[in-house]
Amino acid sequence: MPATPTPYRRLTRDSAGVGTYSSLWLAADHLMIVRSTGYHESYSRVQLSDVKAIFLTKSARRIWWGVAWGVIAAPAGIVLGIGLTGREPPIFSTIFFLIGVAGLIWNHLLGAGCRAYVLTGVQTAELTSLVRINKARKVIAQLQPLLAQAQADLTLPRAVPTSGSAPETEGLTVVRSPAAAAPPSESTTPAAGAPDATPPPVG
Amino acid sequence: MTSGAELACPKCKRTLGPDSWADAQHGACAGCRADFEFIPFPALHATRAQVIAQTAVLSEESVCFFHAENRAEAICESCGRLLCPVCTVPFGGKKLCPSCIAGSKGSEDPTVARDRVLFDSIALTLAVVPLLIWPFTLITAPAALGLVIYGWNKPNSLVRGRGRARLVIAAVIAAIEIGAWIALGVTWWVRS
Repeated sequence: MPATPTPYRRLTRDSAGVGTYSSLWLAADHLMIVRSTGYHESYSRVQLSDVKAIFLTKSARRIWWGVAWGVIAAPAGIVLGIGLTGREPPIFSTIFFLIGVAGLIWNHLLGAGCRAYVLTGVQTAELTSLVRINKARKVIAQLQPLLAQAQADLTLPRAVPTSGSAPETEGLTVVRSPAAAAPPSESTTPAAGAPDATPPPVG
Repeated sequence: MTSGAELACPKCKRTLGPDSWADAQHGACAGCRADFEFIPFPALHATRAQVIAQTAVLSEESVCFFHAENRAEAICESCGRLLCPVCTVPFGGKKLCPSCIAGSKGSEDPTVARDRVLFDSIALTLAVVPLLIWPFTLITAPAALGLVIYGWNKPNSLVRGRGRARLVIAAVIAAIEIGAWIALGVTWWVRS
């Protein structure tokens, strides 16, 4: 029986965690975070139209992997160095040293570690498979036009001028230019997850 | 420059005050000192069209299943209940009611499925791994075969689009193991 076609496109390869691995997939209108143990998969969907922002924070992933590869390479390198003075170079130490050095180089080329979080109106979900800043930026660059398209029908708050006062913006704090002869408006900044200001009703 | 809505640090959940922001897109949480990059999208400041349910005026009008005072304007594509605009949830290209979405746990519908058991991986593991300690295959081989039969028509991974190849391989290996045990049993019986 042929494989079942799926509407999902893979954005990231599997990223290993503790006992599980996660990946990020893209459908026409939503992102899917897949967490798998190899025998069971769980799915978390994030609608593209609900994505308010993405946070990227630094992590120490590259450092820890550097330490791990260094732990492999350093003792093997020491043994190799000692063995080179002898008649026959130690084979296993050479192999482990080369593996360790290759791992260190690969870890460095992957870039700095990061954690990515997607902010919606009701939650902040971690994109657990985005663990390197270079990959995260590539994925975000892929998503940006899709997010703009998915959110094109949303209404941006409009400044409504009232007589003798500055335009008011709901949900925004706007720094005014010196040319604007108006006092700063009172800004209402709703917390993430709180309902937005009342939009024009749909007729 | 806009400071945007009040946001919380994704790591420590504390509100990011004005002192946490270096510019509109970078900053460091004053609580946990985590540097962050902030990439906003239109939905951060945008609003959605307000949904207003129309009150049912005439007695013969269809009313919402959940709100008897509201006029029904849609039908749930899963259970068929009449829904007012407040109860109509667009989900995966369908219009569903909150009950159907809430009850989607365990559902096989790919639109709402929250998880899937990968019977093919379990069967293949049961068929192959116990070969390392082969006496266990007396139990695991029939178990693997049973899982193949049970999982044959079950939906597989939602994203990986795998066919039944793993199930077939697991079934073949399990059948060989069972055949070997039968042969072993017959040989022992004949000799005894």
